[in-house]
Amino acid sequence: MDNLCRKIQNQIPDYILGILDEGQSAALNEHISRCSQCEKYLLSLENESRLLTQLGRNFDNDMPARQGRAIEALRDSTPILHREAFWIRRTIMKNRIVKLAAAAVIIIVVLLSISILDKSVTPAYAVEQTINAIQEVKAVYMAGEFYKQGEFECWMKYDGDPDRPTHVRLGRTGHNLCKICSPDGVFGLNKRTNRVHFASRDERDKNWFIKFGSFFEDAVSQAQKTDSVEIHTEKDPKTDKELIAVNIKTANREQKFLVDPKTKLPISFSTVRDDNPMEMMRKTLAVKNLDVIRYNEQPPEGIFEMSPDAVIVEEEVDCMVDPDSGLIADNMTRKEACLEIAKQTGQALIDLDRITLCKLDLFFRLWPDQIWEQVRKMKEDGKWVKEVVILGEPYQEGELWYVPMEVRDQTGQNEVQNAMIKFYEMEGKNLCFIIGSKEKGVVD
Amino acid sequence: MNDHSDEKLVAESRNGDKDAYAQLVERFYRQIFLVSLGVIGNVEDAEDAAQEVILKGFLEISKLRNSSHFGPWITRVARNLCINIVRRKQRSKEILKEKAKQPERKPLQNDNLQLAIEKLPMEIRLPLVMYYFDGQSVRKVAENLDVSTSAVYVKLREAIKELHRILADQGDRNG
Repeated sequence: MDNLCRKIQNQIPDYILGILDEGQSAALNEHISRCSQCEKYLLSLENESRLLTQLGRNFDNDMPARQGRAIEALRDSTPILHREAFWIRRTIMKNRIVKLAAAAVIIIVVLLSISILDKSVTPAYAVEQTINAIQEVKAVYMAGEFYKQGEFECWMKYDGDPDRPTHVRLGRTGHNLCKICSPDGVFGLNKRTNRVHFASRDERDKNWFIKFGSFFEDAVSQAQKTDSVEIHTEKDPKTDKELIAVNIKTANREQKFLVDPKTKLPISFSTVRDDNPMEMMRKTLAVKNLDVIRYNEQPPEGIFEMSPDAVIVEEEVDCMVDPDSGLIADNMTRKEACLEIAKQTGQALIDLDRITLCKLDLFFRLWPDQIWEQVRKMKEDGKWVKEVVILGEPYQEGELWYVPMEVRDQTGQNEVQNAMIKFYEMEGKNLCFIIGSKEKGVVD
Repeated sequence: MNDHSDEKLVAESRNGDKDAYAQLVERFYRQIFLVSLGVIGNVEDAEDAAQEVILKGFLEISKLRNSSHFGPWITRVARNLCINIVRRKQRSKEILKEKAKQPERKPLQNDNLQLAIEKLPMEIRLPLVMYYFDGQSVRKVAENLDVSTSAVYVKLREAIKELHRILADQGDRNG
């Protein structure tokens, strides 16, 4: 098969779908009239297309029977609706004996708490008590800061092993994206668009969540090798309650856990001093601070599930886009939109306009604050991008578009990249985003 | 009774009225089945999944925000539920076990085409099924799958080629 036949055979599905323009159709027909191999391919595909339409009609003939079976199954079912479940709960609580039993349990819990609180001068403490107490945790809520990704919130649930949660929901504060792990799978959720992307395999062994079970133990054992662990009591400035402070000093940093003397569980973690933050920046999710740690609370309902009408997308990048950003490409041809987004991104790069860059080019959304600080300094020192030149016409490959561009910096370094652009239709708008480059691939 | 709007039927279904919900099912069953078939690929399993979708829809109808959007909502519920079925099967390798258990089927009329459709990757099968079995409108497929029309064209193109390749392969093997 020569190159022309290959090109024609590639176009035949488009011909069948009726999306070739007149000129392309005429050229295809002209080729078919003198090439038996391509004619055979066209006839096969046309025949298959007809068979598909016919099969669809056959399915339609069977549809009433299928529908009847479905409705019968519906009528036979006795699902408990939310409303009914609520009614059952209400009925149970209306029962006097149940009410009295519930009240008794509450009174016992309160009395127990008071007796414990009465003896609340900090008792003798050993770090093993915290290590052991953590192993008993069933659920944890944390809010804090990662070295690299900034502020975050996280819920985790465990079933015996606090290093391997059964459920996780981790999101960066102020970001639409969050990552969820449940027995149903691991997926990213965009809260703004309700789009979901499933990881291709179970990533619960990966480093994308905090290994809470060994977090405290690792910190302590790391210090014991070289330096010291210092334990003292201190008052919580917010509640005036006496807490156990576990100070862990290593060569490069000093970290502090505040531990509840009653439960022996850490209620906060902070990095007091860090002489080598870059070492931690290299780790995927190194925790800098945990301002809030709460235990064994019931997580808000449904946070580990996707909503029944979520949009499942195949590519991770499709989960990152949202209709509030990107370039609105209405009333533009695809080529015009590609040129416009390349032009605006190029200018934003020269100006180091973070908002525009993050809006149009998904790559920049991955930059942590520290990188922005570094490039700001480079710009001040005259080592930043001075010019972005569009080298040629935008071109299409599959559903992606590319714009060849050259980025020239003030030190004389040049880099050629083919910006990778994808178009989306969201909330009635046509949008495009730079989702990576031909050279470096898709952002994820 | 049949003149009731989707909104009214949704409101009644939310109160547990199965008759009202059954009317909604009558209106959207075809769409639910075709999406299930597009994701799962096999007619019998798709019918079972469609039944599951219908029950799930009844249970979760309180979560439907806009009651005039029952059609798109139940289509999405169907797609998600079927994707989960396929993922669960892949994870537990049930497919392999089932295939090992099943005797080789003798191709019937139309069966070759159905078997070929079943062999297509799900990502391209769903747009193909929705396009050919549900009105041949790319725009409608794009709306239902929440992707751009160009993305639908790319997948249809790929599906048409791949289906031909599988059919040709089956033809060779059947002599």
